[in-house]
Amino acid sequence: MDITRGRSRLSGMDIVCFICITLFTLACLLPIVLVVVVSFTDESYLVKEGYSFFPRELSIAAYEKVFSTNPMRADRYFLGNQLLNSYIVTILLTLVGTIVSVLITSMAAYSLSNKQLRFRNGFAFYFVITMLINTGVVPWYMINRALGLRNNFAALVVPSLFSPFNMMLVRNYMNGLPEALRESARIDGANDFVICFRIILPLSIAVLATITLFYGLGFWNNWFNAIMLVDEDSLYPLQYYLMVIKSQATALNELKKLGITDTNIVLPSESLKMATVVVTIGPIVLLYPFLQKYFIQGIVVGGVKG
Amino acid sequence: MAKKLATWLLLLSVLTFSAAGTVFAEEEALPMRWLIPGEEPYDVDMVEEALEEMMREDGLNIDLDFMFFNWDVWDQKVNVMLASGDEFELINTLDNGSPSTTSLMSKNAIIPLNDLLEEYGQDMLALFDEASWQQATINGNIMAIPAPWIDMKVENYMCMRQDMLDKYGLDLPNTLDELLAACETIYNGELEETGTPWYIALRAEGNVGLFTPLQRGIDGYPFKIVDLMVILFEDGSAESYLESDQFKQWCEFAYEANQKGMIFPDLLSMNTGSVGEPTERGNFLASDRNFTGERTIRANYDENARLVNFYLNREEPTVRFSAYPNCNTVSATSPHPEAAIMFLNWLYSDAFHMQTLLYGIEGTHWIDEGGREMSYTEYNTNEEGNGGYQYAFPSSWINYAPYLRFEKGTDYEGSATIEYSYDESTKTSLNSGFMYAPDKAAAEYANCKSVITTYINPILLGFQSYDEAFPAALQRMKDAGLDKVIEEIIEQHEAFLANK
Repeated sequence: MDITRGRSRLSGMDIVCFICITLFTLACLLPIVLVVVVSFTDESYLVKEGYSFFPRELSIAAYEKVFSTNPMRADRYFLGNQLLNSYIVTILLTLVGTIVSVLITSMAAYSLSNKQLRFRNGFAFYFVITMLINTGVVPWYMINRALGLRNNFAALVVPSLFSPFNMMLVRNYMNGLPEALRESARIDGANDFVICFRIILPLSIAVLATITLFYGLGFWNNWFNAIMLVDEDSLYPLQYYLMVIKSQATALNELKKLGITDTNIVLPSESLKMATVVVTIGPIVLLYPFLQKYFIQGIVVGGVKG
Repeated sequence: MAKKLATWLLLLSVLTFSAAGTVFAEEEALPMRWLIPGEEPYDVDMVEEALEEMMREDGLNIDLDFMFFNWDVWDQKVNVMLASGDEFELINTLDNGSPSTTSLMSKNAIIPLNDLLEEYGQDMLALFDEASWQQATINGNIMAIPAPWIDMKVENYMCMRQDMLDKYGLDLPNTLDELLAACETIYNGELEETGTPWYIALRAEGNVGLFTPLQRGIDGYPFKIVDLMVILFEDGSAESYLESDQFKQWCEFAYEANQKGMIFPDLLSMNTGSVGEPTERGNFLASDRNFTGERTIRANYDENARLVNFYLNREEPTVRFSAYPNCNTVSATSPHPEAAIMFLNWLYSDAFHMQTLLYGIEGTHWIDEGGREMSYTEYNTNEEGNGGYQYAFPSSWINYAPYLRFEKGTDYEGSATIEYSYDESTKTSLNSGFMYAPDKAAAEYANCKSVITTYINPILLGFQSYDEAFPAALQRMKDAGLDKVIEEIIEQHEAFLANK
C-alpha cells in the first residue's frame, strides 16, 4: 500500500493478496458452515435433496436426539446420555492430564537446565531419541497392558503424559534465564525444590502457558488411547465417541441387511452426525480465537535465546 | 523327645490341613474370552450372567467375557492383540473378511481343534454337516468351528427395485447385458426426475457383495474364484483367474457400467458403510440380496418401494460354493482352549441356549410366540438403546440356521425359505469348502494382495479400461509372485479334491 500522501492506496499486488486470502478463508470456512447448516436441516429433506447451504426445511430434531437422556442408562452414562458422559470424560482427562503433564515436564526441564547436573546433555539426548525412533504400536500396547492401563481412566491419561518436544521447549527457555538467580538462591540456602518452584517456574510463565495449551489441545483431541486401551463405553472420550456413532450406523445397517434385525429404526441420520460434530468441536472453535496469540508465541518462545 | 515329636506332629498337621484346604477349595471357573466385532449390547453383562448360570446347572463352570470391538477399529485391535500375545479363547472369524481363518493360521494365531472336539465337542460334530467340517479343515486339521447361520445359496441372489422395473416397463434381467440396460434406463430416468444419481452397489473391496451373484452372468459359470487369483471349475480344472476370459468379461461389464456413471465415483476410497447408506434408503440400481430391508425403506424413505430378490441365469440351478460365511477359531494364546469348545458345544447342543445368547433372557428381552416366532419385549425395544435394542446379539457370528427365530408379525417367509432353510435343489459345488492356506507362499501372497488393492481393483471396478491398464497391472502381479501363489493354490486344490 502506498501511504506517502497520508492516504492508503491499494496496489495491484495487494488486491491479488486479498483475493487469494479471501478464497483460502472461504475454503476453510465453508465446510464448517455446511456442517452447521446440515445439522439444522430436516432429515427427509436431506434424503431427497442432499446437502444445501440454503435448505427449505429446518429442524432441531438432531440436537434433541444428541442431548436426549435415557433413564435406563443413568447407571452407565452421566444423566443417561452418552454424549454428555463423553464430554465429562474429555473435560476431566484434559484437566487432570494437562496439570500433571505440565508439572512433570517443567520439573524435567528444570533438571536438565541445571548446570550442576552431570551428563545432562546425555539425559537430554535420551529424551530426544524417543522423538526420532518410534518402535510402533505393539510394544506401546504391551507396556501399557503390563502397567495395568486397560479399561480405566488412567489408560486415557498416562500414555500421553509426557512430550519430549514440550520438555525441550521449556528447557531451552530456562537455559535463557540468568544463572546468577540459582547461584544466589543456593548461597541463601535454598534447595532445588525451592529454586524450581519459587524462582524458576514463576519466571517461566510464558513457556508454561504455551505447553499448557499444547497439552490441553492434545488431550482434548486424543482418541488413539481410547481405541487401543479402552473397551468400556462409559470411558469413551468425545473424539472416539464421534467415531463410534458412525460405526454404529454401519453396524446397524449391516445387521439389517443380513436380516439379523428387522427394525424400522434408522440411525444415526446425516443431520445427527453433523450435530454430533458441531457439539464436539464447538468448545475448541469458540475458545481458539482467544488462545491463538499464545499458540503462535509458543512456537517461538523456546527457540529465542537471550 | 516328646517336645520334638509334638512339634513335628504339629507341623505335619498344619501342612496336611493346608493341602486339604487347597484340594477342597472351590474349582475356579475357566475363563472364556471372546473377541467379537460390532457394538456391545447394553445388557450384555446380564446375559453373560444368565448364560453362566445355565451352564453351571449343566455342570460347566465357565466365566464368560464378550469383548466387543467397533468395526472401525476391529482390524487394528485384533492385530495388536495377536501380535502382543494377549490371552483370549475365541475369536470370530470372517472367511471373506478380516481376519480370515487362513490369515490367522499363517500367523500361528489359532490352534487345531481335532483332539478338543473329540473330547468336548461331540454335539457339534454331530450337528454340522460334512461340507461344513470339510471347509473348516485345512491341511487335515480342523481349524474352526462353523457358524452356518445361513444357507450359502443366498450368494446367488441380488436385489433390485421392483417398483422401478414396473415404472419403466422393464422385465427382470436374466443376463448381464439385460441388467446393464435396465440399470441404465432407471439411472437416466431417476437422474432426470430427481437430479440424484443412483448406483450399482459394488464395493471397494472388489470381489465381495454384489460381485458374487453377478458372476452368474459370466460365461462358463459355475466357477469359484479364489482370492482373485485362481478360478476353479466344476470339472476340477483350475487356472489363473486374472488371465482368464471370465475376468476380461467381468471387467468389460464393470467398465461399461462405470463409463455410464452407474458406479460410485469415489468407490475406491469408500468403506462398506458409505456404500450401504444410499442402498439402505432404497436409492440403488442393483445390490446384493436384501430380504428384510423393504419395510425400513417404505417406513422411512419411500412408501412405494418394493424389493425383488432374484438371480441371473435362471436356466441354471443355484450353486453353493461354501458351507458357511463365518466361523469361530480358538486362540493359540489361551491357557484353557477347552473352555472355548465346551462353551460352543453347550451353546449348539440346545436351541434355547443359542436363543438366549442371540435374543437375551426370555421374559425380559424376548417372548416365545411358539414355532419359529418370537417378539421383543417393550423393555428391549427402546429407541434409546444401541441399534434400537437393549440387547440383540449379531446372529451371523454364531448362529445355526434352524435355531433362528423370526419376529412375529413380520413377513419372513421369503427369508425363512431362501436364507435359512437348506434347499435340496441347490447344487453344492465340487469346490465347496476349499480354502487356500497361504503358509508356503506367504510373502508372495501378501504382496499379490497388496498389488490387487492398488492396481487390479480399479480395473475390476471399471475405473480403468481392461485393454489399457491390465497388461501393466498383470506384470506387477507377476513381479509380486503371482505364478508361485497360483501354483500353490492349484496344488492345495488338487489335494483337497483328492481327499473328498
